[in-house]
Amino acid sequence: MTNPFHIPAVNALPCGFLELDAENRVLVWNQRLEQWTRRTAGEVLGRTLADLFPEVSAMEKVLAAVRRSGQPQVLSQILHRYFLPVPLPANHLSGFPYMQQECCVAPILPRPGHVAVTITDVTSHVVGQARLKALHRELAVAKEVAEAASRAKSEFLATMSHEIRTPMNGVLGFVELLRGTALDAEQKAFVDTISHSGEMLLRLINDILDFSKIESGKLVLESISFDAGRLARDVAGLLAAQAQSKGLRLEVRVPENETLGVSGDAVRVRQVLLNLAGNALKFTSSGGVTIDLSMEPGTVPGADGVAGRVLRFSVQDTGIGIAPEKIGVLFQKFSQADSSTTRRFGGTGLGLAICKRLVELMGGVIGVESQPGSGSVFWFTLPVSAEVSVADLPPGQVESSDRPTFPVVPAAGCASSGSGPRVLVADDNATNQILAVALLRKLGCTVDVAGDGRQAVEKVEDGDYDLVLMDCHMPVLNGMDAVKEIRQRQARAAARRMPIVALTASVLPEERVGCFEAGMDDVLAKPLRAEDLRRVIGQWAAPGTPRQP
Amino acid sequence: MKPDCNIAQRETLDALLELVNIGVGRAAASISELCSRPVGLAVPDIEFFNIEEPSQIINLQRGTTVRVSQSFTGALSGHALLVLNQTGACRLGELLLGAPSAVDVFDENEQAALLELGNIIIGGVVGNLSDQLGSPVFYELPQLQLRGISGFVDLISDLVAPDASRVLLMQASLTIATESISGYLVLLFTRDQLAELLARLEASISIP
Repeated sequence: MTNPFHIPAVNALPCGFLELDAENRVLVWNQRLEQWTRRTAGEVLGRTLADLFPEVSAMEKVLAAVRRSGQPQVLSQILHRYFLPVPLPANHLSGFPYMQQECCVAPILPRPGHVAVTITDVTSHVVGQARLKALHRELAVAKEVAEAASRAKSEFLATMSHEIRTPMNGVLGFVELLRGTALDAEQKAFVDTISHSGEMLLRLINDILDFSKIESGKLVLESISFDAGRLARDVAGLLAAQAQSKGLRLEVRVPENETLGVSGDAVRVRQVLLNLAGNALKFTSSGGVTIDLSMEPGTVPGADGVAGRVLRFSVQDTGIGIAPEKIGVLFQKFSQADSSTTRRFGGTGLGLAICKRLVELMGGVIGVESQPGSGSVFWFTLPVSAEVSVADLPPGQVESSDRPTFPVVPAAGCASSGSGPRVLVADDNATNQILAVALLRKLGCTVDVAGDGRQAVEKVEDGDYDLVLMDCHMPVLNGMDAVKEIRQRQARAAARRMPIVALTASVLPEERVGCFEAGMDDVLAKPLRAEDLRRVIGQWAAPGTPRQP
Repeated sequence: MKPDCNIAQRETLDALLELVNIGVGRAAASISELCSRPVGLAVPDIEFFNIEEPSQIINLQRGTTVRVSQSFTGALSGHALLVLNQTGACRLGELLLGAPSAVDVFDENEQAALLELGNIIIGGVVGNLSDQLGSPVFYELPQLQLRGISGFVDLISDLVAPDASRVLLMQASLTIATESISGYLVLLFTRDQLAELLARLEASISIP
């Protein structure tokens, strides 16, 4: 039998094509099917599917359904195996014994009962997608593992930084005490060196802690109203002595008649500006540093493309400048433009990486323009979500965001005889105990010591203290639980509420919150410093401080 | 179903719901046979929404990952859609193929199986409606679109006729091996086909 539809168009199809009559006899069999099945049209035409391929009898149900409904039906490989068995070579790369097929059976409406079947070879497609899918799974697992490792590393760093801060408390505290004793010039120089090295180490630890907090997603940004102009002037004030000692000019240029009261995280903005301006001074030996502020057009954060305003800070110096090829690595962690820079100027290489992440967390952009020998301009922008009139801000708003200002009792205000406030120090670490006692005595306080939380509860029960300094992590009974018990006992006895200040080397916000929830009145971060203790005494235990009922 | 329709409309909608359920019941039987496990398919609710009020469309679009669409002409003209969310489509793929599926990608086999499933369900529903009307319906080839993977595909704006105003929305519940997977069946009719369908249904059930 000859193929009546053996026309070039059907043979040119890249898929198999056949037509069946109402009795499933083959009427059209194109060349692609001849190649696949090694059966010529001459052998096939006029014979039924069941006769030709007994193993595909299940397809007769599909064909009947299509004829009955008139609806074309797509047949998936996975649910039907195949329409026609097309064996693949035993060594075929896919590993499949038969060609993977995508098939469509459609009624040929002008000829009742006739159906057209197209068969597409999707073997390589299925294999490729299976490989892609496997790769996708592997990538997802690898990403998960990498992220978990990164989180673990950041948590490890945060923990280690915290642990290192505790002994640093002892080193820096005792250096401060030592400085107050009679020292000759050489000894004073040694003490200054220890103090300077300790401060540097503390800055490094703080940088690592900051960075690991950002990396592990634990950094929480605040949103408070602040005066950006004032913030810039404060930063300049902090660096004025450093500029003066190097004979450098340091100025702040804030546009007049421009509202620079904004809402955001003032502490982090100040941290970034301080870092950039501090770097500028560090790398400048003559000339000066200028901090410029301006409001510029930008986009509203979170509203794609909506016009808004951005606050731009720039720090221009007349320093050594940076080679173009070094600029790309500047904002990467542990990187400085030149490895010799570390030896010459110091620094951890973390500062700019932290700045970049902080600015990006706040929705801004950071960048630099520089030429070797011509100085640099480091800048960052921050989207302004809400502008606040400077006149509306309370005095000292900027300071209050970083370190609250409280009435301070001058050192002279506390008698050194120990006639000042009675303070209980609860800390299990002997070094910390000695340091706290020494510092408090210098402030004129009478000091008692408890070695764990249980002892602290008992001493509070027996003694009438003006203030309790409570370490959070102690054996027997930890600081949090000790405070809870003290508060319960005070409530039962209707006794006055004794001020309790937490001592903690942790700077995590959740620990601070935990302290207040446990019943603490304030939190003092380790390492302990005389000025912080003085501030706390002034606020909670100064003579004349009303005792809370 | 709209609670504010009158008794005659309610009877018509009940009849429509019953016809749809007979259609999906037939589809379920075919699917059961294909995947050799019990498959239940039901449309518990049916409602209309206006194309001019896009809140329902937006809700559907947000939750939809897979769309199987098939156009038809004849006694009824329009487009039928089976839409599934990502979780439902993945689980359906797993149950049909008997192999674990990735949560956010569909390979050739899964796409083909989902296309065939949609093809069968749409055929069951539209076929039964056309049988009821006693007039043939002619189908185009079904298509599968993945959304959120190969870019955002508008759920219906590429299919809806410029003068169409109302869409028939059916909530579908597919049960395979005791697991229930929810999806939606959407029928988009050209011009006044929906009103005509309801009128013919009403006429066919009216008591002389």
